[in-house]
Amino acid sequence: MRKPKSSPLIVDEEWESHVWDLLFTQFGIPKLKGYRFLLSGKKRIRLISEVASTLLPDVPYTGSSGLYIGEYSPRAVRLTMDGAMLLGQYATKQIIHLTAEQAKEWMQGESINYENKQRGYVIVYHKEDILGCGSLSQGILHSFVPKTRRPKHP
Amino acid sequence: MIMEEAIPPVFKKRFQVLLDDEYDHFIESINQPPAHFIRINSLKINIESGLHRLEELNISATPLPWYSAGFRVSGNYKQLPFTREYSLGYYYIQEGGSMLPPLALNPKPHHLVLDLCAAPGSKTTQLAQMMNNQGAIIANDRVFRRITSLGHNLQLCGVINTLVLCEDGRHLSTRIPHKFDRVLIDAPCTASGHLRSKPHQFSIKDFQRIKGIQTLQKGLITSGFRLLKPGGHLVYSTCSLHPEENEAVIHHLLSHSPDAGIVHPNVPGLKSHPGLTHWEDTQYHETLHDCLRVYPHENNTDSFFIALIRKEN
Repeated sequence: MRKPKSSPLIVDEEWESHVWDLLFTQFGIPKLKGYRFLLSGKKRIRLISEVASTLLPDVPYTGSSGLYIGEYSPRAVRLTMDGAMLLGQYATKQIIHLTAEQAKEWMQGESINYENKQRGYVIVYHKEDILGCGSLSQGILHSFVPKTRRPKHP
Repeated sequence: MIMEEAIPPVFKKRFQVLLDDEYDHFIESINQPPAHFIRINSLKINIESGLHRLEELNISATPLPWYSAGFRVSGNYKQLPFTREYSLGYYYIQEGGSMLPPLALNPKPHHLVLDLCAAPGSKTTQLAQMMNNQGAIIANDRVFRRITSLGHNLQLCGVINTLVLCEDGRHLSTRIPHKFDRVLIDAPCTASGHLRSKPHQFSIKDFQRIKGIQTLQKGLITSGFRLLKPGGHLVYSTCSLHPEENEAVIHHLLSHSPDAGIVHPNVPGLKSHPGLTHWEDTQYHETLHDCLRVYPHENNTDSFFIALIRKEN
């Protein structure tokens, strides 16, 4: 049996505030109570309930605790599909809506044409469903739907 | 499907004794194609909308009498794993009987819960759903490669109240200092209750494994009970029909822990048989009558054994 390696895990209030600031600046997502952010590896932001986070010092880290919600860089957060589904409902900007045909292609990982004044990361909707987070630049909406989550019949 | 002739004689004899005059119904039911079940993941979609979307996918869903989020499905259900709705984590494919242990445990949103044998995460994600993603769950499994599938399912279902641990459950009480409100032990077993849904796993070799697996099960229940708070509840379950993996394990705990007591699980709408109070030459505690034996001919699910144990103050 291969034993998991311990990874450094940061629960740092200053860094957490920085991540909330980025989410507010990018998407208008306000700081929500009852959540904590963890940094797994160099970039992966994981979100965990505050109660569960109090147990962290006693639980050796396996890499799967909490929800992987996004990738961190000092200037922006790229939300994962599940991060967008959880936090995107609070977003007030950088939101786009796809047609059925566009949603179908985008969910299969394809970049699609999408003329819009917005730039950067966007929360992608089809009707009431949040499909994930995409990147919009020069009329192209890039998809970050992971291969394992691309439906055969989207 | 499995035909009666395919059941090894040693099993057949056991099942005849266990089921007595219901044996024919039991055989008849395991010769039927298995039913298919899903759970609507209310962490991502409400039940009403989830049902509406199933209709649009031409999937018929019949609610389970014992769980409002559990459904027996028919129609176009085989396409479900390939749909957008599934990719978004709106549904989780889970056998109907497998939804019972978390229901018997009945965790509350403020509880600290331990799932001792968690992978691949069906019951952990159901616990998180029942707790509305609040409180905290420690999901443990001793096999690291199984942690990957556990992590995948927690992510798919949008679970945020769970920490994942990879330890031998038998020694966990020496590794973490916490005491839990609820402990779930869905123990590794010979899976003889999966006769209908996984007949290819059914082997005479399993019968020879019982003794070894029972030692592991006794170690797990002893450790799990140690990690329970006074007043807390523990559920021990298996998908095995063999009393050696079920009543004998509970009897072992009761014999060594005077503060352990059996409670009758409250699962309205479920048809079940009481636990055995004797098997072959062995007499068990009378209170084992309050355990549940779930058979396929009564609920159209796989077989399950469920014991709810309370640690006295």
